[in-house]
Order: sequence, then C-alpha cells, then structure tokens
Amino acid sequence: MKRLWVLLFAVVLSATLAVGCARAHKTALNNARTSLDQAKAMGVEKTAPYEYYTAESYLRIAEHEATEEGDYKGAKEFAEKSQKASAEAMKAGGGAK
Amino acid sequence: MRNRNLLLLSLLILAVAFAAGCAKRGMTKSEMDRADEIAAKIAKAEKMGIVKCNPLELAIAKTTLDHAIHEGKESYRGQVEEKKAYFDAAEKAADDLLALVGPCLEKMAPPPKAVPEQIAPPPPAPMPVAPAPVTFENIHFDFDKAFIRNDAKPTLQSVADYMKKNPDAKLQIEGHCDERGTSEYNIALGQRRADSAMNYLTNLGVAGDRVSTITYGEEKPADPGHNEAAWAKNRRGVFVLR
Repeated sequence: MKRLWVLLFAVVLSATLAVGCARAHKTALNNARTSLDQAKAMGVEKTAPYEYYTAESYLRIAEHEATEEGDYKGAKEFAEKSQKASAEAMKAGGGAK
Repeated sequence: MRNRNLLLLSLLILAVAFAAGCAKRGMTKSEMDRADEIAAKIAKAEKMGIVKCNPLELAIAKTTLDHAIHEGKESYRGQVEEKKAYFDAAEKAADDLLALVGPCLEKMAPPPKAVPEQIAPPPPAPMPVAPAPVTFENIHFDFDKAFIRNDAKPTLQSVADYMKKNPDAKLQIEGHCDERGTSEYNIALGQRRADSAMNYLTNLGVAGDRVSTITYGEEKPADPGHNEAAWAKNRRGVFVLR
C-alpha cells in the first residue's frame, strides 16, 4: 500500500513537471508574438529592420521547434531570443510614431 | 516466477536508461568547424556593411546558423543527416548573403577613411532619368548644299537613338553657313540645312513636334578663319538638347 502511494506521487510529480514545461514554452511564445506585434505597430520594420527581422526569424524557429520538433526547451529559448530582438528593435527604432 | 519477471523488467529498464545515457549529444569536431566557417562568412558580409542593404537576409543567415548550432548541440551524434540539413540551410543563407555584398557595395557611397567607426552615408538616391547633359557631334554640309552627307548619318542615327530612349527630351537643330554669299541667302541656306537634318531625324522615327530648327546663317562661325578649312567647319548643323 505504501508502495502504491509512492508510485502515485511520482506520477503526479511527473505530470506536474510536464505541464509546467509545456506552459513555460507557450508563455514564452505568446510573449514573443506580442512583442513582435508591438514592434510592428511602432513601424520599426522600417526604422530598425535588422532587429525586427531577427525577432521575426527567431519566432518562426521557436514555432518550428514547438510544433515540428516537439523541443519545448528549444522553443522557449528561441521565443525568448525573439522577444529580446523585438525589444532591441523598439529601442533602436522607437523614434517612429 | 513473479520475482523473476520483476528482475527481467528491472534489467530492461536499466539497459534502456544506460543506452540513452550513453548516447552522446552535441556537435562533432567537423560540425563545429563548419559552424565556424559559416559564422566567418556572415561576419565578413556584416563587416562590409550588408546590414544597410540587406537586413532581412542578414537576420535570416544569423538566426539560421543559431538554429543549426542548437540542433547540433541538442541532437544525438548519430542523427547526422538531420543535423546536416540544418547546417546546409545555414550555409546556403550565408552564401546568399555574401553574394549580395557586391551589389550592396556598389549602392553605397564609400565611407570616410579617417573615421572608422563613423556610420557610412546612406546610399545615393538614384539619378533621375531626365536627359543628361549630352552633346552630339556637329554634322557638316557641302558648299551651298543642304543634303545630308554620308559622314553625317551615324551622328544623326545616334541623335535619333537618344531621342527615342529619352521621350521627354527636346531638340533644337541650328543651321549654319560659311561667310560666302549674302547674309539673307545664308539665313535661308542655314534654315534648309536645319530642316534637312530634322527631316532625316523624323524619317528615323523621331516625332517632329520634339524637334525645332533655327538658322544663324553666317552669324556664328565655329572657326573665324577665311579659308576653305574654316568654311568647311562653319557649314554645319548643331544639335542642342533643350
């Protein structure tokens, strides 16, 4: 009976971790998308094109990692890079109104 | 019996775990070398100012290489083909980028030499297609004649070609004469010469309303001399773009 409880605990823990990981990459992807939309709305595609296209390309890679490869860690990593590039684009080309 | 099955199951799990643990992840030496080569290509293009002309291609090359390195590190060493595909894509992006450097350099004005960190000036605006300050050779006429000589035809052809290529251009043809004969006669002769050149051009396809004529008779000699050599120069048609 004690053994069963240990097993159950292990299953619950694993499931929690798995769900947590999946949510982490989804949150990162959503944040990256929001930042890129924000950058686009500011018109930085014209004023800071390199940073903007970097953000766009990283986001595409992140989505590929999540959907095609099932590499959630990679997806999170690239989504974070995308968000960072969007922030740099907005900083560099922020003069555009 | 039950204990035996449990033992077998445990051994199987251990074997799988051991195999998974032993399978090495990460980049091989040749993959690392390849990544360095691709990075060097991108750095070269970047150093030559590609970011100003082709920011999209630069971003794609850099992020594709980053992706390939990620796959190289995260995949198992046995997944050679999968990793190769990512590095091939990165190399292609870097090669495409390098190919754009030449046209980019042509577009950009040379940066000032004294200040290495200074941002290069923006590429010059394309020149308008309006007629450039083009000049044409004069054509020459025989004494007291207004017909187009054979040696004048190539010049007239080049004038016609220019006019066709520049539909907004307007042309004035000046007719000139040497000093012999009366002023009134030479005014008329100069006009015939200008008209003769204009007719030739219209026959070559230049619209008549784009060409005007004027005669100066003997009033504007090209050569002030009073000999046959000077007169030959003065019996001429001059093309002026307006």
